Amino acid sequence: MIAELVSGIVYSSIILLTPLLLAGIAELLVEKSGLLNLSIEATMLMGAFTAFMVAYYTQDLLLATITAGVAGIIMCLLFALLTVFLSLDQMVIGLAMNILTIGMTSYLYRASFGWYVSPVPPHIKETIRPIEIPVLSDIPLIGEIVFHQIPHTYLAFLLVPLVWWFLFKTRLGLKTRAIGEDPQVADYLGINVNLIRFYILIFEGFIVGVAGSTLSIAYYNMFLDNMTQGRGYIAIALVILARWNPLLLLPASFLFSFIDAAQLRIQASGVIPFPYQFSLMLPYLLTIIVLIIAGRKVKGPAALAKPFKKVR
Amino acid sequence: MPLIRLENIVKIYPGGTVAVDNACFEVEKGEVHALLGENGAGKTTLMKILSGCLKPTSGSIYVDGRRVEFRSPAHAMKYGIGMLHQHFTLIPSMSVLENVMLGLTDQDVKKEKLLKDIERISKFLRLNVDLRSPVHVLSVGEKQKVEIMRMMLLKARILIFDEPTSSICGPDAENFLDMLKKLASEGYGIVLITHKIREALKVCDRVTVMRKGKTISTLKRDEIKDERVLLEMMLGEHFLPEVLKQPREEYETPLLIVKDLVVKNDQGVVKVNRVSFEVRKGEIFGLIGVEGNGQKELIESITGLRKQLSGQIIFNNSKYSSSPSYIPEERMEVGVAPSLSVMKNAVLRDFEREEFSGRYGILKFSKIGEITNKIIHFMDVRTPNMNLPVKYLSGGNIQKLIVGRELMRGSELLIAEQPTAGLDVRSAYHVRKNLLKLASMGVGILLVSSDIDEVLEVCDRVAVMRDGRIVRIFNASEADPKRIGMYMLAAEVGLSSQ
Repeated sequence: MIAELVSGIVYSSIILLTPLLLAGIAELLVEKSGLLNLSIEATMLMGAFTAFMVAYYTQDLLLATITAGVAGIIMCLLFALLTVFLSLDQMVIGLAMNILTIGMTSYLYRASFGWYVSPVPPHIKETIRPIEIPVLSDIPLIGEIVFHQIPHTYLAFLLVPLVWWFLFKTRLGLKTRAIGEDPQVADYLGINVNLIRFYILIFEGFIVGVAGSTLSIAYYNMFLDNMTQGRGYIAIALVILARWNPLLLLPASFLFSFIDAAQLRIQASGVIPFPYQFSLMLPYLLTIIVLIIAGRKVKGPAALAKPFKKVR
Repeated sequence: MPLIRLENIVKIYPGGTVAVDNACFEVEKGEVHALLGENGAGKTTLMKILSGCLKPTSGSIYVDGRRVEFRSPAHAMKYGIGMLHQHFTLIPSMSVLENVMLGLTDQDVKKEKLLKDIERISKFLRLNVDLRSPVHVLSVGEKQKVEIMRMMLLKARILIFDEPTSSICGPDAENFLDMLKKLASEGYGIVLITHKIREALKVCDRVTVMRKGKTISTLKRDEIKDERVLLEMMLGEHFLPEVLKQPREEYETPLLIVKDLVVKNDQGVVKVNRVSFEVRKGEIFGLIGVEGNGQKELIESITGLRKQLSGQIIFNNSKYSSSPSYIPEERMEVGVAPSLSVMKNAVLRDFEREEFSGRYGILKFSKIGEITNKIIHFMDVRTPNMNLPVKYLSGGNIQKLIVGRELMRGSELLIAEQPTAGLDVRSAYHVRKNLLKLASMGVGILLVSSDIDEVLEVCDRVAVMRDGRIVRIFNASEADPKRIGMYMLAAEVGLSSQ
């Protein structure tokens, strides 16, 4: 009974973890290069919206996922233009883009389906289904939980070691870390700071866009206003929690989503005597507490969020 | 044919300042060429042009007789020209190996060959560090060597050093200069930017003197008979510093007493170990040591920037209200607020006094302007106006502003860390003269310096610090450079018996 309950929570926490881990691993890479991209919240929301629209009109879920990635790239290109090439303040631009996108997606949604949303909102018939990995999914318990997920989850798990390998084992990764620590020095040594940041942002755009698509075409079958609900910000907090270490991002995001899954269970069971809003805030409260304990002495990339301008 | 030739270089900054005015310069293979001049003479600007950091307004650069134009420092590096700036171009959190690899292009990197090269160069430079340790744990001298190693791996032929000994002291500086000679004998062309005549004469094969952006003259080492000739060229006039000090043997009451002080650094290592001394009214107490032997932590603890573990610090002020004046070594971090104006920085310590902010906390800019003007004239701070943010002044002028502010505060105790660092001959002389004047007026001065000559010139007593302890306190009459140097390094065996 208990084992079943726990494995159930673990299973759903891996589902909840997927968009966070995808966004987190991409954001981690971006932050390592010295940019703080708050607008991943907007990028994710745009991904969710685009994926739903494409899936609704074409019923092609693969196409929807890829278009979500492309929409994400466009969002990050905007961010790159403003912060990398025009050296504007990253926080201000990030926040502005988030607010802009909430309005824009809600508006475009209504522009397509009419101002009056009927009691049954537009939805898609098919969502992305879990894929079983042969052999591995036969492992008792673990196979059921880990290897019976949607492809996005596998992508997220795969990206963790990949990003680690890129950052710490390749030349380009070394350069990426260098521009995150001191872009002036990197520039002095002939490294093209803006170009590397530009490429990394394109990567982030695609991954975060895809992360958004999990919400509207995998876990739900519809789009809701502001349906990311701060997951982009959570991903940023998780990067800090993981101390900018890709390998720590996995346990960090698991911790968060486990609590989230548990609170959903508690909510659904209806056994608790206090309002359900209390359990809603639990994961966020926990994040703050963990940050207080673990995040105080942690130093991020030295040049994080500082605008870089070439002086000659 | 010289390796490098600069012809009629002119650099005019956007503001209209002429930094370099028709300068000519050349470097041969295997020579140490000193570029000598005062602060603001244009030495660094000229070399930044040669290393591709700045674009000249006009003039031409020849490498191996062929005219080139550099787009960036990395581009100049392709021609074998590398410059070591006053601040390091290393990334502190990264390891030595990573830092060294950063500048290399992909085709340079074959790991086994790279490691072999690194080993060979380390041996040559006498650099003995773990390649995996992060750069921030290295000493200043080691960091310099890592930078040199990077240049050598990049196949530099010309190495430009910008005031390399300003951050290392005494015996370490000597070793460093020897290394420059060794590099030259290996065929490298070395440019040494400096304002210290003695240093230039010690290592150079040729000297080029700059003044006000112009190259005044280039001399061979054996043509120089008297260093005063160089001084005159640098200053453009006859200037002979007189001997300053009148020895005093009697002192009055102590103003600062430090008793059994123990201080740890950020990593939790004990850097100051049971240190006791006192600074008396009217004396200049010198504190000297190789960098990293606890002076920094000691001063931070006295000035209240760092908590002590145990021991006592007692201020014996009769004027209770006035805090000690403090000239910090890290001028940009501790000394000024870089984005505030010259005027605001001039009263940064005292703006809350009633004379500046009245009874209701409204700043009186006329009064503040008056004191700022006084400081500017007293120290000859070169600034276009008082409202300019301090960060746009040169390092030397910022130093003058801080020194002026602290000297004129009228407190009874002055703590001065490297007060003449980065100042030219005349300003440094001016600062020393005023330290002595203050002492004669009864101010107690704690002077931290790594310049043995300076300490001997002004101090009444000199304490040598090593490994967190004061190993010896000399009276001025018994101190000489050699003995102080020996105590700093603990090099001689016979010392312990004394």
